[in-house]
Amino acid sequence: MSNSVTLDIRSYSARALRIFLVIFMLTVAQVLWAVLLSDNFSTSANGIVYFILLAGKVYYMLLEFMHLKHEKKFFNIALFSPTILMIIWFVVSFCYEGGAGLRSQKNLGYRRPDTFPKEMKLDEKAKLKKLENRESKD
Amino acid sequence: MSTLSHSQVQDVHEASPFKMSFFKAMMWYFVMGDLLVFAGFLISFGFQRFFETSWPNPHEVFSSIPFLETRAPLLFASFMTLLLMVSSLTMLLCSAYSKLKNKAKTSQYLILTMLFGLVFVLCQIWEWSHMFEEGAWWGRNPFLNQDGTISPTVFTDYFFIITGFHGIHVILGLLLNIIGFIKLHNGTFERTGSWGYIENVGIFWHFVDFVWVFVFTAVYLM
Repeated sequence: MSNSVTLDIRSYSARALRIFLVIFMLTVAQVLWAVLLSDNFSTSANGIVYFILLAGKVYYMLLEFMHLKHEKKFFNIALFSPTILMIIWFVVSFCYEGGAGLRSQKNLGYRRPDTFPKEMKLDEKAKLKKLENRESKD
Repeated sequence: MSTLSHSQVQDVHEASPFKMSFFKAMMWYFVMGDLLVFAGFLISFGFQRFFETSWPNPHEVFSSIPFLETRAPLLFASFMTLLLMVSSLTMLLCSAYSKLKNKAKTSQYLILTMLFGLVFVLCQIWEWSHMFEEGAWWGRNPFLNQDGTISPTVFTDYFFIITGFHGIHVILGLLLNIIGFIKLHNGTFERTGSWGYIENVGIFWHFVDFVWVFVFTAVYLM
């Protein structure tokens, strides 16, 4: 019953320490990559490296530190399926939107209003380019 | 007001399809809701980042160390990460000992967790005040882009919003831990026979650490 909690605290602590060390090493790898190597790689290659290291940390934190490994499988599905679907949609749609913003900035010369004083918002060169684009479309 | 005995509570747990207490399940749902709020902040941060052709180099911006003149990229932020990770480990051991109903050890690890959390909050206060001294605040961004152009203020806006929101969570976690500490020492857990509070607070505390992993990667590293 209630007092029948059996937990070998010694091996549990040793295991916790091992998992902590794994997460620690992954963080060290992330920081070293960021400081020493990230300038030599493209942004997408960096993104992939960060994502892999992040996924490793997330895996150990959720399953081991937050004990999801020991919960009912159905609970995990009930908990995570809406969250993960929502976040995937969120990431995809916002990457798409952000990409559109970047394109509008590159092609039309649009700058964020707070970046420059008002009179410099749309410089002449960009205006001309915009007109050229419009003409070439016609 | 009547309270359930521990065996009654245990029966309720056994009847639940998830085989867990109501409070724990609700803590998990709260944490998931909170995760979506953080996801909103971080993804909109990513959106603004994608929008820009250039961005301040976070390795230069976050390179100051308290009380030292030297600058080392990300060293202080990494130290803060380490603090949260160690506090997560002590919280894990604390909830393990609470399952064994070992009052002394639970109390000991709870104090350690609170100590690391407190140092983290102090580090964050220092970082904020240092950023403020450098001229950064909501709507003010003194840092230049990597290509030398003026940087939009969204960089600092998002830094303060995301780390501030996370800091509020750490403070909330600290308060929950203090309540747990008081409950532990006035014998509430022994009286009701239910030590689940510590485990539930543990989930929240691990969540704070979990979110910091994303904040650290998005704001400091990339």
